[in-house]
Amino acid sequence: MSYVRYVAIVIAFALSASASFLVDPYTLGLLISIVTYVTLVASWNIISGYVGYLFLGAAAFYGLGAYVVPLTSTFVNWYLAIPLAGVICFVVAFVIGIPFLRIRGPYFIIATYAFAALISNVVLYLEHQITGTIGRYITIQGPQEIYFAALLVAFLAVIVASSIKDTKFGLGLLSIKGNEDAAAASGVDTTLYKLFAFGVTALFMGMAGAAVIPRLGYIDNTIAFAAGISFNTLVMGVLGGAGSILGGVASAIILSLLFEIFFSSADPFAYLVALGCLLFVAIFFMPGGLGQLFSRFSVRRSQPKMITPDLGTARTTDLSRETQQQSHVNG
Amino acid sequence: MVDAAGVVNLLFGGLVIGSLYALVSVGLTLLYGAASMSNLAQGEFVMVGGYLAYWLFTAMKVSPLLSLVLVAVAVAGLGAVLYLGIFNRVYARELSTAETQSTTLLLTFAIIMILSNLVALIFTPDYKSYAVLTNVVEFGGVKAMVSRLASPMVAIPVTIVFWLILKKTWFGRGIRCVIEDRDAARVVGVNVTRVYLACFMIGLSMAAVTGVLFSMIFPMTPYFGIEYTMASFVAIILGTVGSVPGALVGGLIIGLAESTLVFYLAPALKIAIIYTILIVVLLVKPSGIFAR
Repeated sequence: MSYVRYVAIVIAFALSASASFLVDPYTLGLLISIVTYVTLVASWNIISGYVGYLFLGAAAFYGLGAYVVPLTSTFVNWYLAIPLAGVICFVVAFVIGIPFLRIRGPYFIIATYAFAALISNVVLYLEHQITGTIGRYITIQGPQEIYFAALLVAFLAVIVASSIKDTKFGLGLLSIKGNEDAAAASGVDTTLYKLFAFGVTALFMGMAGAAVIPRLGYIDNTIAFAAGISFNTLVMGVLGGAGSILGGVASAIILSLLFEIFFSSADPFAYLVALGCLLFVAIFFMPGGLGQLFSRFSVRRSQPKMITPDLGTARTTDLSRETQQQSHVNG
Repeated sequence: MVDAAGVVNLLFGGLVIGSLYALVSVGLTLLYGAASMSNLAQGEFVMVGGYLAYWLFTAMKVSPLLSLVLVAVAVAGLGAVLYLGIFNRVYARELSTAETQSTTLLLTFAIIMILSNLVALIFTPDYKSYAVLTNVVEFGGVKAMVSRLASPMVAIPVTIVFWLILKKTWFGRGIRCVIEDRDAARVVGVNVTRVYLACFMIGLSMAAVTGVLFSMIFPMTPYFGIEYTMASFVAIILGTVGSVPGALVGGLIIGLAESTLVFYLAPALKIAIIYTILIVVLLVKPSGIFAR
């Protein structure tokens, strides 16, 4: 990542963090759910966008991360519970990934949905067996604290997800998407790469769950493992364009806003039908999602970089650097 | 723990649920096996069939037994419209099988949103049910309501007749040919487009008929579809994708497993049981029990 990008990230973080002081509580609540979905979609893109395994189980890790908060509340505080939830989800994903990531194609999508439903059911069952009650209370945190925590997690997720692409690890992941057998044949340890990618996806999803859950003060398996979370994440990821973090962030923001408008209206069903139609049209006509639009820009921008061996371009860059230096001296 | 009659009752309950799963799964195995259509909205067509029967019964006083035919025809028409209007354009893109599967998966994902919310808009999201054929018949110590008896008595013969059509007729041979190898089928002169059209019509109308039978027994919400889709995916993976007897046996196994294991373990684990079966099958024998 270039120096400019770091500055841009810091400015974006400062701006979005300071936004919380300017808005009313309702808008702050909306901002919290937006940054949560930004985290979920950015991390979803690692396993689904880069590796190409469409993941319909975001609720599993979100819920698992959320459950870490009440279960560990007696010995760690909430701030420490967030990274702890991430680590636990990473380990769980790594272990269940060993059998699950052998499943390819549409079966993976069904199996991961099954996993989320399974874990929700098992948590419900164990909770009832062990404690005799269903649902746990959680110490409520202020909306400001929750927003900062969720925002920090979202920025981490976006930075990690978008910088992975340029590493050797990221190239390996993309090669698995291209052709898994060929990737394995050319020396990529596909099993380990997939497990790490799945683990990182789970890490951020778990942290998102742990960061947001104290908002409600209460948790049970239907809140933590709501199937809607898995579905929304996949829809946002697909509409944003699988593999495009920027597209994913944009679609997470747009769709969260749409959902908020629709669900707060008196009769949400007509809107949801309209949203379904919109989704259908988008998938039908724009298989690459919003990312298609962004990649068109970035290709144009990065083209000079790609043809640097060409002397003409090299000279122009040199000249521009000279002009810059001159102007710097003059200034 | 339970006496003999209790066990028989338990098995009968499993047979009822299982035959519903079987019928919807036969439709899905046809769509997925022949047309590479990963229909995530299969359960939504079950739901639509159920609500159509509910509407026909409450508003028009039509008996659900007649609705079976009416709904089957109506949804077959809907399937034809969906195929000719939209999905044949997806197939015209000449994608690979995997790409077709993922594109149809995402498109049917949108169909879930449209259908379930459309039904919620029309019928409200509350539970709906109606009482019909409530007279009880008794045979061999087992009492059963006629409405429950209707499920296996319709679903299993329909499945078997359909299987015979696949085995014995030229039309069925064409479908089996496409399930086996789409490109080879085209080479030897099978009209693949017509097979796809037939799969859409038959596959979706089987789901809708399942819905009519379901609505006679259980209360419905507009959102029960997804559980049905998942259960029938488990059934077709268990019984090998593309195999009609496999879907029948897979559906029955899941129904029986659900009713007996829920009874002996815990009702809270109902969903967990289905998905444990799925994960075990995917790991132990991903090609299913009817694989050759």
